[in-house]
Amino acid sequence: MSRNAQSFKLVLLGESAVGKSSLVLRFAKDEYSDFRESTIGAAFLTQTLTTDEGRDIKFEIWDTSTTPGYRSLAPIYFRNSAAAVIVYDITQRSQASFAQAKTWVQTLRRQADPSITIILVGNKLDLASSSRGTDRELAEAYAEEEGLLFVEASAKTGENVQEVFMQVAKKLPLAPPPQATSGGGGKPGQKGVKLAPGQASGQQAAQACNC
Amino acid sequence: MSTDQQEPNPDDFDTIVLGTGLAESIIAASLAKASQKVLHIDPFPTYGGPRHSSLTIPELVAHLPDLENSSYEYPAGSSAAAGGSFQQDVETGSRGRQYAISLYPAILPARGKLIDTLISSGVSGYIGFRVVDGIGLWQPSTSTGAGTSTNRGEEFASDIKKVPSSKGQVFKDKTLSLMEKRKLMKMLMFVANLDETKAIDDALLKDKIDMPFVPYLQQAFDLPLAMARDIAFGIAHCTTGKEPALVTLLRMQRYLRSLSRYSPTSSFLVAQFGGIGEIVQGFCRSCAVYGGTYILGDMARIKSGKQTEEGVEIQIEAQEGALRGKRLIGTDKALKQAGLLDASGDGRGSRRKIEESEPRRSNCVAIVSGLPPMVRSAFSSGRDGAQQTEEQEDEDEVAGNDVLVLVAPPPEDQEKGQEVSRILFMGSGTGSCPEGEYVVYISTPTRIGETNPAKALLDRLFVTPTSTALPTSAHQPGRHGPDQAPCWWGSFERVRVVGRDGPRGRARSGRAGRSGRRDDHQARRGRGWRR
Repeated sequence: MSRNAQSFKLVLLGESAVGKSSLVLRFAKDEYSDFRESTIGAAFLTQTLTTDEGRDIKFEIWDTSTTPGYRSLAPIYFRNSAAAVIVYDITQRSQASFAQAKTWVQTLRRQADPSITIILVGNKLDLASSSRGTDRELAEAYAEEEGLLFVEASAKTGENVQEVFMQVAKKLPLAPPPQATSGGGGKPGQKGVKLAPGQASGQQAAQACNC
Repeated sequence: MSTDQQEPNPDDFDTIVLGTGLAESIIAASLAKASQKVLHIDPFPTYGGPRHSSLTIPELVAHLPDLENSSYEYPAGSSAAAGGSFQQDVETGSRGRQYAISLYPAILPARGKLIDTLISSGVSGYIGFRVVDGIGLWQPSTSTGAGTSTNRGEEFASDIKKVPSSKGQVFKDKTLSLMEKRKLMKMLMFVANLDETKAIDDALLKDKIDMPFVPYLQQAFDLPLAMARDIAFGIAHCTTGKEPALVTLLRMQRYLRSLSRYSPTSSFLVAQFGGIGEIVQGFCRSCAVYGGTYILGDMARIKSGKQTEEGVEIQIEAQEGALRGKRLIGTDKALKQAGLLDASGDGRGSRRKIEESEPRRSNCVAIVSGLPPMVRSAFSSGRDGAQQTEEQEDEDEVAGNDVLVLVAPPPEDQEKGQEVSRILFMGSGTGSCPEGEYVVYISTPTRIGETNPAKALLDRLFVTPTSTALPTSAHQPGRHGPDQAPCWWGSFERVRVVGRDGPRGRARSGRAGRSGRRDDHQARRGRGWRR
């Protein structure tokens, strides 16, 4: 579909029920449902966008299904991720999800590649006028202090959702991280190998298949 | 909406899986995918548990005391060799987090149950692999003689023989006579075309199915002893020369068929970022994606457990109330710790005591700032080992020397089934370490009372008769051993089911398989346990 889209892994982080999956569904499929179950069954979604400069960026979006209370996120989740979208719910009076978002920032600093692009996203902007819990200024100031991108958005109305990913796309390096093997699979020889289903069958060896 | 339909209790699960070893993780993933509600817990803080995790150096240093007979040290001068305060940095700082040290180093044949399972489950999509760039046979015993040659390359190369990885390379091999090549090709063709179901009637196998492999090769194919041994240890990856012929031939067949699946010259793969530990994480992630709940570390420590009418009930540190499962799966060890299995064993006699004479392995992991010169020389392609240049070090990666395996066969005059030593080099392309460095894993046979033979082998790799001025193993922040766990062809612990679906007696796993494939099998057949 796209000519030569560069592939980047993007991880989604945030407390349970802040709307991580809704955000991605809105972005990737332009769908929204008020009654989404917690994330089950989707390992990752992909979506391609074109930046203003005409660069095609393919996002490989890794969703989590964090169980409330226990956060044993595996390092595999952060491997080779070029970007992280940390989501919190702006309507929470307790600001618990905002506090959790800050914890995720620390985790990323510790575990992820230092060059990772992080964007802080306040979700449920559609409810801002009636039941805002976390001030925009507060979050903005925090993001600036930590050097994060920042957007408030609504997965429900779609407001600013494209903006989230567009902002990330603009920040991404021109060349993907050297060890990234996602997307087109490993190049023969030096790059990593991706095991693809297509290679599972058949005993016809003799073919140097590495693509 | 019906009101009388009860909300499912969040503390009720279909299956509770104890431990995040490979087998347990495959089981957890497959059950979650089959729509079961799975709780997967491990008191060890990293995915993979104390057997299969991949750890950063700070994690490794912190957990070494948990591993059997372990020790680690920074050799004198290591800081200087590493340029700065390596010691401190690796234990506490960000530098140490650039390493992924596998507690279970392994290479995976490109065709096999594990690879099939990875692909069919979709877990392979989470993981990057590298091909093993080369396999070499090393005879450390011959390196003790004083070197007379002034040609460094030749000297080193003489110790390590690169195993040919294609027909072309066999034909180009100058050390073999034409006759030998013919016999070898005949043997390889025989293996390639071997049909297990007709093996009993095959003229070359009849009455020889259980014959020790090396003598079998000599007899059936008229191969010289040296070549038979090279095949047994370098291609069939025997642990001793006495493994039964048919089983070994079939394994060799799988390795030969693995050739060129992902690389034209390699049968084997390693997972990036520390191997099995990464694969474990992939399965756990798959389980989580399908709704599995994870609790790791101290919070998952089991305070008590009991079998009930409905299944199993456990109490863990994380919460007051009990967690209930219709069934619970774990190794004997985990079940005993949870109080769900009589500490004395399974009623049929506990695990037999380990005899002093029984084979044991000593394992060592080291980080080095480059390949040993003799290894580099042996694997530098197309140079005939003649000229060593300064640039060569930089070319290791270009030449595809990122993942290398050395096999040191037991001495020819072995008395009873002495085992091979195996050495695995994982370079920066595997994500195991920073650029230019290698993580080296060594596994070697040992006897009770012997002090760390794996470390001795490591030293030998780097110190050769004519190489006093060459760098020795630069810095080894973590090594552990001796340890009974085999290094990279070992068996996984068997798992058993207790509770409603569990057979009362032995788990239906039979003996633990040599390569752990049996466990993969089990995991995939999770449902087979139901009566």
